Amino acid sequence: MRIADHMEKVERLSELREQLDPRGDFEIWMWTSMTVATNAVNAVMHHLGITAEGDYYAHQIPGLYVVPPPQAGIWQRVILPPGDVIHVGFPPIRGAVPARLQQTFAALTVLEDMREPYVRGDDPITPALVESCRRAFDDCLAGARALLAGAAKPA
Amino acid sequence: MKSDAHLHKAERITRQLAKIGPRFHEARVEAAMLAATHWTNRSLHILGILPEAHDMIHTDYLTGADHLRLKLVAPALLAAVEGIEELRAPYVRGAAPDPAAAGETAIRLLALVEAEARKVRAPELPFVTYSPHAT
Repeated sequence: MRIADHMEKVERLSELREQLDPRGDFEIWMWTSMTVATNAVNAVMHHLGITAEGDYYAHQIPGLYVVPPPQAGIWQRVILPPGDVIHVGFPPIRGAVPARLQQTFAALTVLEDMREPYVRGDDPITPALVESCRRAFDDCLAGARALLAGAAKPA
Repeated sequence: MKSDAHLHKAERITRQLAKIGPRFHEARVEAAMLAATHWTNRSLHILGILPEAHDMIHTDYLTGADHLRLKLVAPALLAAVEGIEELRAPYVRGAAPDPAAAGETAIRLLALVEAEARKVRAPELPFVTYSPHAT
C-alpha cells in the first residue's frame, strides 16, 4: 500500500479508537490499536526503503498479496517480494531491522501478543491489560511518527 | 476453547461491531471476521472436526481434510466466513475503492455465519483423522 494510504488509515482509525470503551470494547479497541500501529510501521518501512510501497495488498497468508483490479469479482492472489507486513516478521524482511526501528517493532509485538489470549481466547480483561495496550500503542505510534519525520531511505 | 466460550465471545464482539460506524470499514470487517471465527470454531468443536483444545485462526489454515469436511457439512457457513476473510486484503490491508460497501457486506455475512452456526448439531459418529503414527 502507499504511505499516504497507510497514514490515512492511521489518522481515521485512531478516531474510532477514541470512540470505543477500552475495557468494555477491549477486543475491537485492541484490534484497532494493532491495525493502526501496523499501518504506521508499514509506512515507516516504506519511508526507510526497507519495503516497497505499491498498489498490492497483503493477504492473511504471509507472503501472498492481492493485486487490483479484481477479475469477475475475485481478487487474484500472487506471491510477491515483501511489501506490507501483516505482523512483525510476517513475511520476513530482507536484512537486519535497523536499531531505531526495533523499539517500534517491540511495541507492536506487545499488541500482537494480546490477540490469542484476549481476543481469540477468553482470558480476563483487566485494567492492567488495558493500560499495557495503551502504553504499547502510544510507544509504537510515537516511534513511528519520529521515524517518519526523519530522513527517508538511509544509505 | 470451550464451545460456550466461543459463543460468548462471538456475541460480545458482535455487540462491539454494532458501535462501529460506516467510516470505519476496516474495523467492521475485522470485527466480523473475529466474531465469525468464534462461530466457526464453535461449529468445528460441536461437529467434532476440531477438539476444543485446538482452535483455528483462519479457514485458510485448516488442513485440507478438515476444510473439506466443513465444506460438506456446513457449506453456507464456510462460504460466508470465507467471504468475510476475502474482504481483508483489499479493504483492511488495502485501499480498494468503495470500502463502505465492504463493511456492509461483512456485517451481512456475519449474520449468515451466526444463523448457520446456530443450526450446527453434533453428528451421530465422530470424525476421525488418519495418522500413520496412531496405534
